[in-house]
Amino acid sequence: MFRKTGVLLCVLAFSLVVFASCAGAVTIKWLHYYDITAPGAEVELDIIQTFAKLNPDIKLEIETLYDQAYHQKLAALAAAGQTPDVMYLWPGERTGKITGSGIIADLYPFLGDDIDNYVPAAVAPQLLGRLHELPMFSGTASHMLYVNTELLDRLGLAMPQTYKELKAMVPAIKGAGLQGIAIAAKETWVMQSCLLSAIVGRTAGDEWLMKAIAGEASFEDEGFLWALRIVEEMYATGLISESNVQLGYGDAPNVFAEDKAVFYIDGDWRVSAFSAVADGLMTPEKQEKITLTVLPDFAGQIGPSGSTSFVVSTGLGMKAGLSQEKAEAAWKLVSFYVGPIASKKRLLGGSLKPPSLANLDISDVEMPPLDRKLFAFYPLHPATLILDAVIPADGVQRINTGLQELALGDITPEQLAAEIEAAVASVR
Amino acid sequence: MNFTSEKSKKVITYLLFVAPALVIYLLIIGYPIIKSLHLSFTDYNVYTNEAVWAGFKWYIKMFNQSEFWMALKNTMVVVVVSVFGQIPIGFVLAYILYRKLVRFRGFFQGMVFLPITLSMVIVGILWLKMFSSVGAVTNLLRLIYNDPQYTIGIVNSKTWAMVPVAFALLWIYTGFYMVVFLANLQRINPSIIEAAMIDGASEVRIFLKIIVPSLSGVVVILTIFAIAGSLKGFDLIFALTGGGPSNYTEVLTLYMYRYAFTYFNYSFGSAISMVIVSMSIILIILVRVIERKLVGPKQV
Repeated sequence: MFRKTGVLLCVLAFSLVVFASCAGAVTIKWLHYYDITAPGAEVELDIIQTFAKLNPDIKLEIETLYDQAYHQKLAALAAAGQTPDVMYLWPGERTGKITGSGIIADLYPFLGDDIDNYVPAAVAPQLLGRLHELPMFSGTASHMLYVNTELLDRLGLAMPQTYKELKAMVPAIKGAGLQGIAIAAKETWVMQSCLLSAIVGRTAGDEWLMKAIAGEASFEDEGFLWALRIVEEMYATGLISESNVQLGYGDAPNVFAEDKAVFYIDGDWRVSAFSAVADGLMTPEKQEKITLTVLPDFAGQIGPSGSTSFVVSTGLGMKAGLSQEKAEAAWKLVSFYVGPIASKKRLLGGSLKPPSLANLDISDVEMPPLDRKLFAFYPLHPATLILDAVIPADGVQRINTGLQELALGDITPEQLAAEIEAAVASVR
Repeated sequence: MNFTSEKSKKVITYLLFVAPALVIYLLIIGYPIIKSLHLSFTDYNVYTNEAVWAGFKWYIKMFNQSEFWMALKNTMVVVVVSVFGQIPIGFVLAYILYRKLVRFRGFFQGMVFLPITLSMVIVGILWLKMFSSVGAVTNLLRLIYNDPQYTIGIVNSKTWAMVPVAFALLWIYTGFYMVVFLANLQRINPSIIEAAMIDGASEVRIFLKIIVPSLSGVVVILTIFAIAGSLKGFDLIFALTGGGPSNYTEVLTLYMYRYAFTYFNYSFGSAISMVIVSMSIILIILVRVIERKLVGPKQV
């Protein structure tokens, strides 16, 4: 899944080298995906430093990048035959070309019997039936509806139980000079990953999606068309204001935190922007008035009720063919990164989701209210596929740009569906 | 061949002088272009470094994509704004300063030139922050119109989204052309203008009959700069709009970047870059032909 910000130059490009104190240390080259400007980023540095202290016989040479720069560097290194020993990977198509090329190690043999210590969904087979990365979290929900219940109360509105009820709120919300749903639609991936994916999961279902990708069904089928019509309707009715097409990813949380919108759609990773202890956008009191849920059901939907789009989490992977000494050191790092010490640090740092490690004792962890709600979110919402995790890049690209055209009324759902079908068909 | 003859010595000397620059040029310009041409006819896997011959597959795909034609149209808008906007306005501003037609010339010269000294990315983010949906200008307009949902329509318009980009381009680059023209204007012998004034020539006549012909060669060079710069322009538009909304402000360089560095399809990206290189060569040859017809070769 794509986790991008709108400004490429916010990309971090610095090198951090942690030297081991003893001679003859094993050197591990680690290309890491890390945004130092993100709330709670200091936790990541703490995890790295702790690993270095506990493993003085391993010398880490770390280069950290963020957003597109990371993917470009990884591709360039792989092309030059200089694949790093350890790197940050996605479970699906996002890094599918590299994980599918055979240059990344399968982690199942390293994991061995320890597999029982993890949440089963987190260590389920990835591309080619292998485990290319050991996920940090139990998973990632790319769709979440953040609700400001204080504003709802002020407007005399109740939490919508159906999509029809949600639409009916628009006049009251607009009458109060507020936005309905805020979404950072300037970034082309956001509407696809955080909105349309969840809707398609309801209106068409995962089984249909996999058939459409394989060519056994078409993106012009009714279920997908219905999903596009819902997005079109959200903009046409003003549930989502057209101004959101110019709303950058960095600005969107502020719109919601400043009480300018009643609802906000983003992925679960955005919770930390509001709840991070040091620099979150909301006080604990304010977080108590935020509800984390999903879009209400659509009448006649065929997918599961209350579902969200979901994917296995990201994590670290290893280069295939490392020497035994290097492979052992790399595995130490990969497993430490998701182990109890690192997971606990993330929990205490306040920028977290449920870890992939099962049975982690978190009784002593004081979590901000919104993080607590996030933990409660996952069991309530069945998972459906995220489009950009399974659809080939050409198709995703047309969906991404096409959704903005749909929002601006420059294309019809039927035209867009036909163009998406053509784009996917061209690479089947 | 007699290497001791005067002619041979001249040729060898010439080659020795030219060789270092030529080698560097071939390495950093020639080789990448040829390599890119080769990649554009292959299916290249960046991870395995394998290139399989694919013929014109990527060119056919490109010409069949509406995105390509949108990017081409937007690129031509940038070329037109540069050639017919920045250069004439820069020329007129330089003339106004040169002929001392305004007071506070130093101040105006500094203000017009200032944008070119700033990083394009900073300028792009500056404009973006002003005109985004939470930007200062948008919020000011919302106050004026008393509409909290007010949106600046032009930035979301499929037809007009390039206008704000064109305006930013004018604001940034006009100062550069103004300074170049001003430097060349100062090379014109003032006595020619004084003689014209004594003979009763008007300001317009001086401009058209003395100034413009004197700077025709500079105009040609700057036009070539403007075309080349427009075709390779990336940073400002990337920071300002990222090519969006949808692909309404996407130019060929962004289109190429998206395929080559977002989707890692280097073959398709190379095919797009070949189109950019071809356009650049064709447009520059066209400028030289027009210039020769209008002014004559000796003026260059």
